[in-house]
Amino acid sequence: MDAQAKNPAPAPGLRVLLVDDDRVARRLLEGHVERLGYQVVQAECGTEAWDRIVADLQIGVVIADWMMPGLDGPGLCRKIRAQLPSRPLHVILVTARTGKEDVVAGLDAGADDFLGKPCDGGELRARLRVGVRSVSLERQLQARLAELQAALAHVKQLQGLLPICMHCKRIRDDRDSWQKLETYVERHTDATFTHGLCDDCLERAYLPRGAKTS
Amino acid sequence: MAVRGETRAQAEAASASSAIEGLAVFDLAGALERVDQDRELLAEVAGMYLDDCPRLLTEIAQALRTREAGALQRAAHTLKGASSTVGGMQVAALALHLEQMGRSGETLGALAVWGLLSSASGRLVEALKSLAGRQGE
Repeated sequence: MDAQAKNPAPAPGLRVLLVDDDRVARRLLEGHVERLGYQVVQAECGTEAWDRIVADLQIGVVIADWMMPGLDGPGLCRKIRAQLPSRPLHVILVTARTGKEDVVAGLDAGADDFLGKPCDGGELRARLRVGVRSVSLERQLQARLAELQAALAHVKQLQGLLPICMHCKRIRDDRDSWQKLETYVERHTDATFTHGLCDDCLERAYLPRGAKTS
Repeated sequence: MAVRGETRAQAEAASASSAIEGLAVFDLAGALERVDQDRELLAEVAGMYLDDCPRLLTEIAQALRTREAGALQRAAHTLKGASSTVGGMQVAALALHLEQMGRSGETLGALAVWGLLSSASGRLVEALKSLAGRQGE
């Protein structure tokens, strides 16, 4: 069965990173996640996972085993939250630990969710959907914020003091060259001028002396 | 002391054998459920397990010999995870027992648990061999 064809990429541009030192568990997770149509990246330990997260900006969901040699699941969470605080990453810790203290320790480390071990396909699907939804929303929000900031920067250029020639009304730009008012405004805003003629100017410059516009 | 130690070891062995009572050596239905009934994937995962299991058992035996609690905890933890994935419920339960012993640093009675683990893993490996198409290996 061609899983990718059956489930076309549910969230384009989002990769799922699987972290477990046990390749049996990793292969099982990979089977589930790929069947849902997501691209999978794998790492054998927390340190390798960290390198992949830094190098691959498309990684949006991390499913990491709690207990691993070296940098473990909670350690990886702490590193992510401390060093990449604004990166939209949903981290799911895989663990057989369900005690209150363990859940608190995992959440304190920066985990978003937990997945029981051995992993169940249905539970994985549901939790992955939650993660993808949250990361997609966060990504959209960040993109919108960047657009707004860019727009705001644009608007700010027309604030403050503008040196204008009292005679020809040209404006002096930041490179000390005098520009036509239309050119300056068009370059610094999204406005475009359409040219017309007001009655006063029509009368003064275009009509024979003594003629009236109306 | 020796008597107390022996009693403790017997108690551990008894608790380990009661922990696997009623558990399947190989839970095919459960394993299939975990792979969404994908037999091909299960056969592949079983093959990986067959490749990795001997190394993990050796690591556990080594840790028991050298009394390294940390190494015992790690190897037993990995064996527990892999075994539960492929449906080896008895091996998973016994590995959990050893993992907990490793965590607490109290390995008295671990050898008795090791005996149960060896025999359970032998039976699990046989079951997985037929699933992975590796009979006669």
